[in-house]
Amino acid sequence: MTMPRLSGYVSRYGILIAYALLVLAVAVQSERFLTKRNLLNLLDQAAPLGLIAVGVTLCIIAGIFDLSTGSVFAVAAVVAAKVASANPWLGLVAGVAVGALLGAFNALVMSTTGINSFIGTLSTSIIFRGIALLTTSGLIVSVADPAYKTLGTETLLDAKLTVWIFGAVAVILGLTLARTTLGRSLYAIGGNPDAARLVGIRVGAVRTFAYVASGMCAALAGVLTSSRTGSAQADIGIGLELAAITAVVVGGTSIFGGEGAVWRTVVGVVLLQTIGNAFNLLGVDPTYKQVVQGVLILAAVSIDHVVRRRNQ
Amino acid sequence: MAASGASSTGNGPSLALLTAVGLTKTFGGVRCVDSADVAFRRGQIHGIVGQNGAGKTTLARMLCGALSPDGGHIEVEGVPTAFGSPRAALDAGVTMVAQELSLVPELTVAENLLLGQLPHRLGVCRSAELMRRAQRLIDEAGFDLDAADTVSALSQSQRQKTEILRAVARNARMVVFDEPRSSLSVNEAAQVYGVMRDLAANGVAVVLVSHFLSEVLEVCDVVTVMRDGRVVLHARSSELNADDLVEHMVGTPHDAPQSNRTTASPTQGALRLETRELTGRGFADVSLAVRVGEIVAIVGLVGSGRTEFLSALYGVHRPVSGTILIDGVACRPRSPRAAKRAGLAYISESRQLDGVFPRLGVDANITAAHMGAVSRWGVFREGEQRERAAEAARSVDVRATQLSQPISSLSGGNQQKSLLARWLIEPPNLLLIDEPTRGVDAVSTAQIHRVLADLAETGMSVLMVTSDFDEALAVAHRVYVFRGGRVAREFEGDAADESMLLRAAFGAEPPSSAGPA
Repeated sequence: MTMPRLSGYVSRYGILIAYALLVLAVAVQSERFLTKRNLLNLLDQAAPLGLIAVGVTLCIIAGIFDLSTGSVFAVAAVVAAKVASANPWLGLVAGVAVGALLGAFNALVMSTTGINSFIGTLSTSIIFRGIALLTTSGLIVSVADPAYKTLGTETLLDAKLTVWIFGAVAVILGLTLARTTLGRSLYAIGGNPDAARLVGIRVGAVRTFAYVASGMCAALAGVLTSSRTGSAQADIGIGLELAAITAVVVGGTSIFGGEGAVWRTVVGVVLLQTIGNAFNLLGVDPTYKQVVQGVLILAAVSIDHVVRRRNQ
Repeated sequence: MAASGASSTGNGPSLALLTAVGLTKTFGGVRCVDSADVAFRRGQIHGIVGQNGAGKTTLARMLCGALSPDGGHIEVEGVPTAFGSPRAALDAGVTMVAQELSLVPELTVAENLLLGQLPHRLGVCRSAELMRRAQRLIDEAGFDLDAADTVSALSQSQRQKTEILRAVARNARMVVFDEPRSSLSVNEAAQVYGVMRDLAANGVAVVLVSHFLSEVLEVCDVVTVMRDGRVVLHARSSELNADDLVEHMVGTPHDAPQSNRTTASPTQGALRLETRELTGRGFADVSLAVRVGEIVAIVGLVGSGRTEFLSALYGVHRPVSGTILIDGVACRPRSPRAAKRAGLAYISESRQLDGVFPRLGVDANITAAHMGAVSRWGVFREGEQRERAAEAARSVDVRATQLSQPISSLSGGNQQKSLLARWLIEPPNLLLIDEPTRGVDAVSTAQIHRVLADLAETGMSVLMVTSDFDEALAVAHRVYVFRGGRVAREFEGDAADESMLLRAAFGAEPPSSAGPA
């Protein structure tokens, strides 16, 4: 009775155990790791990737890929910075609105052409990157008004506003997935799209929601990043789309859709960030960083995969 | 116990090429093939017939290594052999011309025919030699094929012929034809039968699985009849006629399950559903009606257009012409969602393909079609959701340790009952259900029949499609027999027996009572 239940917990929360082991290992090696300052700093650095990843989580659960998030990130940042020269707050809003628009465009393209989301969003990501370049003519956009930097740099109760925003978005999307009919519909579509259609779920509308939410999350990440430095340029955020998907999968959300959770993605993001942080704290030669990072990701995912399969 | 017509092994002069000894295969608790003993001899054409679900295809697939048996074994020339894969069977000289074809569409006919044995010099394909050998195969069979054509450009029947020739090209010692007739015209079928006779004349053991009884009798030397997974008759075809075959396919009357019809057929009630000359992909000119509180079954052979008709009613694909009336009002559902709003519910024939959400819990699967009923402003009311799901699960006796466990961990029968429960959260006016008990164990089957009867008593109408003629007779008030996409006959449930349905479905009835040809 206890054995199956125990292994059930291990398979469900294996990623947490893996993360706890990592924290333990790093904490033993460096006393600076478990300081409030370091941990808050770690979360602040994780926030932009985290925002993108929780948005992408909705897509992957619904069985679709969004590979345009890195480009949406850039477009939103430069649009926000451009508009901010007129009004800093309007700039922030405009950036997020553009993200929603680009997400809706993704949904429109996939639903009208019926092409696979992987190749479809790969194509739109190139278009979006081009739009970012056209908007800036390849130059850095700087915002003079210091009010623009409020969101990216101010703190509340010792934590950066970005961390609070990331937390709030994660909680909202997490509750949406776990508690609402919309969330259930995302799981249903990702698990069996034909069955979803037969029970009367509006598959197109629900997918559109996923694309738009993902676009808005990526845009918010871009806006916050731009707000942090008070500037933006067209080539930021390259590769973030893959880092986000990595974080989602490391957390244990199935790449095949129909299964997963936002909390998993949060753990995945923090785990990746912790690995990077440990390198800095332990003073490891940074040339080894990528190899070790790749190996650790592979190890985390393999353990998770093996444990789950054994439990099926 | 069914009586065996004749001894099934060892009654011929020549040694059998391949012998099935006690072959058994179980799917989800159902014995699809139950200790089958059959011997296949060189130079003989051996027919296998039976109703839908009698186990013919399952047996054929085991002979060709596509399925491995749960019990019994295969002997090749008296030597016990286990085919682990189709490849292993092929190495032993056993090959299959399957219902679903396995050609490479991007390659030419010639390349497909000789795939795996392409003529080459130093690894470079000798195209001219390839074409010559392929064309010779085609000409010998007398087929209208061009060796240079790409398979993707061929018609279904041409592909079938390519598939058949490929078996010939492999110099097989035994070739199993599974329903080769389904996409062929009469003339084309005659050509295929010619090829089969040539193969047999060259000492090949030929097996023909078919629904076309008269043609089986004409072509085959011996015939095996299967029923409920068992071999019930094995005889020379010269000693048989089509009626004998049907009789053995149906079996003795006491095999039939108890009737679940509790109410008399509602002959007067209002029409819940009426179709007038409905035509669409796979069916034509279908006019039928279902009354309030009535259970109507559509039976027919696989490929008779039953499933296509049912799914068209639910808006899965659109009919081309004709009228659908629901409660007397013309209504052409454009999507499943629209059909659902019109008071329809649909359970498809394949649970795995478009029925269950495998990774979601049993409860989430049950409430999936009526999430609005257990939520407020889009947020689930957890307690209500659990209760409604549990109530629906109880009403059809879904057996699960916990309702939150993934539905994929349940047996086929419990999954099917969960799908039924799904539509009982807010019962529809008309339930469309395709193969209500396929792959379902006997106990669950009886329960599902009971539930359907109870629902009809409350005024729900049920239109079901089934391959199981017993089931249609046991559950339905009225039965429509489909043949070739059309309604061939209509029977009152009390006025029909299994052999009448079978004759109508096979088109083997006397001309006087025959439906449209």
